This record gives sequence, structure tokens and C-alpha cells, in this order.
Amino acid sequence: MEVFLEAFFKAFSLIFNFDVSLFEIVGLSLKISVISLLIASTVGFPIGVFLAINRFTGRSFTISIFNSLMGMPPVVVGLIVYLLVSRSGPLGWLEILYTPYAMILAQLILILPIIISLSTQIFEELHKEYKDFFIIFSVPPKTSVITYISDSKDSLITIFLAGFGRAVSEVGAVIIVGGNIDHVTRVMTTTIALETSKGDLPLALALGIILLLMSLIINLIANRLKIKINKETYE
Amino acid sequence: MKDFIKIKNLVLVSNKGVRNLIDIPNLQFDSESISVIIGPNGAGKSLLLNLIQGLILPSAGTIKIKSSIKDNNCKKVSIMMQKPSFLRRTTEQNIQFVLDLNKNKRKVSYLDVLERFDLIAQKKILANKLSGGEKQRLALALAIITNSKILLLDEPTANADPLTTIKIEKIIKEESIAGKKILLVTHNIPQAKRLGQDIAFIHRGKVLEHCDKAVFVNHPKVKEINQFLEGEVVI
Repeated sequence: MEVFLEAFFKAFSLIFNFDVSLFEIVGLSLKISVISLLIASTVGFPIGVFLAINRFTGRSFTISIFNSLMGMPPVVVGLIVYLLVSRSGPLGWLEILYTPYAMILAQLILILPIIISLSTQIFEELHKEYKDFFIIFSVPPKTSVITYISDSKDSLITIFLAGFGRAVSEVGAVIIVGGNIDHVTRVMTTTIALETSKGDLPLALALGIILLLMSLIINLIANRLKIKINKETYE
Repeated sequence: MKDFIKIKNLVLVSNKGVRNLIDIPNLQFDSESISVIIGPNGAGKSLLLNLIQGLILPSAGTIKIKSSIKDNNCKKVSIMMQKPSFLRRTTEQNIQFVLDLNKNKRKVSYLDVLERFDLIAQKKILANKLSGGEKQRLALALAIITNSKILLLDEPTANADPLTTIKIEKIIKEESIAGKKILLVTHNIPQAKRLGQDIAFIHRGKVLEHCDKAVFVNHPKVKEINQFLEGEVVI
């Protein structure tokens, strides 16, 4: 218990003294997660709209594939990305192994199915309401996609959160493709794993606290945003 | 223009294929008039409008609409549905959305539209939260601002009070005078007499009679019309 309390106090001292290496790790974690989330959303939401409003052969199969990929083990994704970007892999020429770019790619592959699958369900519901309206007023496809995304933003926030949660808490994939290199690819989760195995609990605990706080703050902000949008949309 | 809308051998078979929901060998409408379609519930009036609009495809037959060179910039058909659907947005945002889609065709501001359709007080209210009569005024406004050559109106005053009915009828007349072809579906016989220049009577998917209003009211050829005009149940 004493060891635990000591680690706890040291952790808070690192946080309140704005320890440079601690916040460097937090910054990189946020950067990688946010970039992969933004790319996944930019690509995933339009794919979600496409799957929701179009009927074609293989549609159900495609949706099932994305649903299954939501539960893909991160280490498997890490291994696949590793094979892709390693020197002898098809994307080896990019030379991004053990860089943040490879970590972004791995997280993107992890988040994209979540964004696509969950948003497809939301857009399907909206499509039932909007289908006739869009036919009657001959709404062009590009405007339709923008309207579907813009008019379901309150629900999309939840998906955004789920994607962010998956990205920021992930360790298996980023440790394989990032290599956990100090000052280069070391993020919160990989540092927690490393420092715990080394027995340096204060840094691991400080990062754990920040990770929890970050998750809490982001959830609070998202909830406030959701309430605000709901107020504007439904009252 | 004679034979402006030309319907030939139009058939719509029910999903189970057991009966014809629509069976119209020949039906024509001129370009400059308000044509009224009346008939008992389930006769196929709304289906006919949906077929003309293209919301549903016929099992067989054709619907041809004549167009002149000056109409090239115009949308051909616009429909106001019995149960209209709107975007999950305010009244003014719905109007603005449709105006933006048609901005190169008609230069009107959304404020003019709100004023003409008596929706100023409701401009900040969500379209789905409007009362029945207000929804119909908004649906009519959206159908009219698309600047189509043909307006299909499916019971535009079904939920309206007498004052709103007068306002809507006035707008319908103005649009007809402005050169639009109006196809009006109604159960309201006095309204059919007030607005219609020619009347088509539909029963069980078939057009039993289509003629000038005076002939229709004074010398109906089939007994179902007599029954309908006298308020009896048409079987």
C-alpha cells in the first residue's frame, strides 16, 4: 500500500510540475489519435452514407465484414501493418516503420470499421425519413452526403467518441509498428506497459491518471455538445 | 398545350401480383388548367401522383410530359405529398435548403416565401414540430419554389382550417394563372368544384370518367360518380 501511495504522490507531482517528458508523451498520443480519427471520419462517414442509402449486390456482406472488423484484435492489425510497411513489404518504400505515420495507419485501420458500421446504422434511420424528400427535390449526391452527415451530428459525436476511445487506449498495434522509441514513437499506453514492466510505477500511474482524466473530459465535452445540438434540433 | 401529360396503358401491380392497383389505358391532361382527381379512399389517386412524379415505377405503360425549349431550365414535376417529409431543421432552413438547390432558376428570398405562405411566426420552429396545417403550407411552399412546370398536390388542405384552406386555394389559383399545370387530388367535392377545370374520377385504380367540370357535376355518366357526389359510400 505504501509503495502504491508513494507512486500516486510522485505521479501527481509529475503532473502538477508539468514534467516535459510526460507531456511530450501525452502530446504525441493525442496527435496520433486525433489525426487517425479525423482521417477515419472523413473517409468513414461518406462510406456509411453510401452503404445506408444504396442497395446493391453484396451490401449485406460488406456491412457484415465491417461489423466483424470492429472487434479485430489490435495485435493482428499491428502485425498486418508491420508486414505492409516493413522494408520487404509492399509499402516498404514509404519508410514509415517505427514512425508516428505507421502508428496512425494502424489506428486508422482499427477505427475505420467502427466509424463505418455505427454510422451506417444511423444514416439508415435518417434515410427512411429523407428518402422521399431527396427524390422529390432532386438533391444531388454530394449535397445528400453532406446533409446526412450534418443532420445526424448529435449521433455521430457518440461514434466519434467510440473511435477516439479505441484509438487512444490501444497498445498492441502501436507498439508493434511504432517500436516504443523514446521521444519518437512513445505514447501513453506503450509507456505505461514499459514503465510497469520496469517497475517505475509513478510515470505509469501519472499517465494512467491523465488517460482517465482525458477520457472523462472528452466525454463531458461531447455530452455538452450533444445536449446543445439536441436542444437546437428537437426543441 | 393539348396532351401535355399523356398516360398510356399504365399498370401498377400489387406486391403480391394479385391485383392491379392502377390500370389506366389512356388519360391525358392539358397544360393550362387545374385538373382535379377525385375518388373514394384507396382508389389509387395518390399512387397515380407518385407514378407521375417518379417516386414509384409502373409495372407497365408510359407517362409522357411534353416540354418546350424554354422549359429546359425547369424541373418538370414537383409534388406535395399527403404526409410530407422535411429535413430535421427549422421551417426557414428547409425553405433555404430547397431555394439553394434551385438558386439559378428562381430569384426569391426565403423571407418572401415565409410571408407568402404565412409562416413568418413559425420560421424558427422545427418543421416536424409544426401543426398539420402549417406542415401543409410548408410542403406547398417547398413544392412551389422548385419552379416546376407541373405541381402535383395530394390533398393540400386535408388538415387545414377554413381560413388556411382559403389561403392555400388562393395560392393554387395564382400558380395556375402563372402558367403551371396543377394536378390536385382531393376528397373535398366543393373544393373540386371551386378549383377544377376538368375532373377525373378514379375508382379501384381505373379512371371511370375524365371530363369538363360542368359535365362531371351535372351529367355524370357512371353511377359511382353520382353516389360519390351525393356522399354515398362507393363500393
